[in-house]
Amino acid sequence: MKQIIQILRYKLQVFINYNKNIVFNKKNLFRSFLASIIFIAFGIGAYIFTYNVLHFVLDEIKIGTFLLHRFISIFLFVFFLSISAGNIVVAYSIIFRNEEVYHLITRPIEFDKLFILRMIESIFYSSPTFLLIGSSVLIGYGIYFKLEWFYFPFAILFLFIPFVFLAAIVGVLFLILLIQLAGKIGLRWTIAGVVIFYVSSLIGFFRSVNPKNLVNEVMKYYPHLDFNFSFLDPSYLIFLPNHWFAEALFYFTKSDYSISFQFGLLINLIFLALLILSVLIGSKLFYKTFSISLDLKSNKEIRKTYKKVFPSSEKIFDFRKNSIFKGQIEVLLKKEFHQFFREPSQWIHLGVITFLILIFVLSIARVDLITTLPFLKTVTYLSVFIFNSFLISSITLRFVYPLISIEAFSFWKIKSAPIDFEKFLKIKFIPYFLFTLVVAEILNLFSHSSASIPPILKFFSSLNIFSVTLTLSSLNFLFGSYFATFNEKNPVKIASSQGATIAFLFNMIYLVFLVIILFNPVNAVFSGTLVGKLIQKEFVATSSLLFVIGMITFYFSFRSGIKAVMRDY
Amino acid sequence: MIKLQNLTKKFGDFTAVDNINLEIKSGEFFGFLGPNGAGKTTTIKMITGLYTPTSGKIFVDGFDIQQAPVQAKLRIGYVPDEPFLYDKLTGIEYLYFSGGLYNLDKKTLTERINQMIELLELDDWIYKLTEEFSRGMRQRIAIASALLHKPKVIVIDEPIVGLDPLSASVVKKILRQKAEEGATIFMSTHLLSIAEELCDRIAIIKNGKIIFESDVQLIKELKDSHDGKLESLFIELIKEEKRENEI
Repeated sequence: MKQIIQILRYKLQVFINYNKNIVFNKKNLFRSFLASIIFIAFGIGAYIFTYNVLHFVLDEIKIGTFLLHRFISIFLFVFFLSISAGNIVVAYSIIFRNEEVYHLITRPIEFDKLFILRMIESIFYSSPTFLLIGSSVLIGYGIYFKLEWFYFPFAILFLFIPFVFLAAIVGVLFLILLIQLAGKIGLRWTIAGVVIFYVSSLIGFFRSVNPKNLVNEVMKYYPHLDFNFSFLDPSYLIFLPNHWFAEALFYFTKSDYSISFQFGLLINLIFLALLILSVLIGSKLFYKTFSISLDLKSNKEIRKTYKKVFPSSEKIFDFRKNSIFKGQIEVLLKKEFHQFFREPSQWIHLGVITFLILIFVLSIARVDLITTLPFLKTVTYLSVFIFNSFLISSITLRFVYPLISIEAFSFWKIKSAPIDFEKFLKIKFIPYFLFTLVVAEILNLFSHSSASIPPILKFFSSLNIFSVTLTLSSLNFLFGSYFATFNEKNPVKIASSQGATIAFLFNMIYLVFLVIILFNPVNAVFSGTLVGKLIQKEFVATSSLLFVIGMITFYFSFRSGIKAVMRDY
Repeated sequence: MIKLQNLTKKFGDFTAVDNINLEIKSGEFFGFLGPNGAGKTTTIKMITGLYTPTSGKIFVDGFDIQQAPVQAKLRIGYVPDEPFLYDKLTGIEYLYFSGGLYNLDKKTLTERINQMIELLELDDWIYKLTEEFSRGMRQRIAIASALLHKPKVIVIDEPIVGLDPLSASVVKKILRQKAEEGATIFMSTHLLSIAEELCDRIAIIKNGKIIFESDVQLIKELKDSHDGKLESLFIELIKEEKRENEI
């Protein structure tokens, strides 16, 4: 215990020193002040957004509280999986591949203590942002339903926080299991296993909790949509934490506090049980897992996997071979390629994202705008469009944001070379932008395959998705350059830094802006189709505006990029 | 070949390099000495374009590094004190990458890389990822990458620190060879024996100011009056400067 306190004290000292530096440095202070304002504004925005969404679905569309909480449960399921999958990557960097671990492991510290310390850090890594957004959403929810005062501490402290930590701990446990498995059956099979597990979880969940069937079943009881239709739930739902969370909220709105608290207690107990389990497992397996992770790093297994997955890339991107590009462009592109595909956290993450997108694409291809009401058609259509944009935002935040920082300590070579920095930035940006654009257009194509979407909407959407991709890529490039530090080469850590969180908030603001700006033109098209008219005037103006915003963001992102690379290195 | 004019670099209130003036002639092997934190690396980073000077100018072969950075950098081969390489590239890929940054054609580049592999005794290591390299190996790759475009000026920061005797001897050998071939070398070091062994002229920097500048003849005379060792002269100069500051 003494050692843990000693290390925590030193960590606290680092934190104090860091903040002292901010307080006494005008530029840093300004940045932190700006960041705080953005965070607070976003918190308020999330609150207003939640309140209005609830008002819309309950008072306008009138889906009833049962369906609402089933949708919340579905959202929480995806949220849970995202956190646990994300924490696998984060925990790997923090618990096993970390300079501090390499240092501490040479000191006389017991492994269980070391594991506990690192696990706590991995769990808390992105928590402040989650806490801010989650709290704002839950406050919006509580105020909408006019719930008792004790709902707020209960929902935030006893539902949300243990739920997020539970997901994070599942990620840590999964990571240990994966490294152990990789040591036994090899990395390739382990990665394949993870992908299959996550994808089958998603598919299995959505198949059994088919939202469309659920809506149809519940609608049979119209207008009594606030009743408890839990008899329609698949039996295994009772074992899922997202269901407990949603049920706790549902029963709270019914003032049935005892059931609500029971679900809350269940989340907390399972969280505690898993925490103890992870400490026990971690204590027993930490050193062994650490050793396997070192072997994985050094025994070429990763390179072998990479070569197996991308067999011809090594030849195509061989530096010794001539290519259509020459000189600086050629070597920078080849370097970028190898740097990306030889870094497991990059291509594995890309693989998982691509796979999820593929599944999403196959699912949305079957979505049909069955309703005849233009208003509902607009809402459904925009939901899909915004979700597409959200995916683009996630890809660019994860891969475009770290582009400058990822150069890290090795940047001296490029900075001292006779290269035009604008050219360098273009070479960094364009391949990622083009890749994202292809993904975006595929998403757009499949989400517009329904015959009920008018051709004019398909045409404008393909243009708009270009502008959206340009804006989001540029926005994340802009923030990535502005917050570039060159001190951290781990792309996952860069993409989850404070700067990235601010970039994420701006991404969300842009998505809300998209809803606002696209609502009327889309609604006009659907309304026009109903009466046999083609209304496209508004769309021309909106699409032009989106394009101009894209170009302006692109321009400023390059200005910011030039500033970043010109900074003292 | 290298001209530093009233060069100053400030970090907030702290002046790292304070109005220094230096001129290094073509073909000269120049040693830039000073204790830790004196301003050697800051000066080098300004010469190579990694830092922007707060004031003053730097000319490399007549080109102002601020006004014509591409032209100036084309003439420089730079080896930093901590040679971080792109760790996901192999040694040979790193060399092709470096040569490509100077737009060397593939045939010339391949020839020069082969020469460097031999000269710097890089052997089979060259085909491994640089993340597996020792410090000595990284240093040798960094030197090879800096010499591929046959620069007129070689700027090298603490070339020997942390190297094993074999790597140190390889580095010294190649620096000597480049000096003989007529390259201008600007080398920072706090290892006096290296400066003594290799340099034609030295300058000592302390607290951002040049406190001593001399050619090889004067160094020899001064050394003789300080038990024949440059180290004694260096310590004496540093102490003297400290006393003057205290007064």
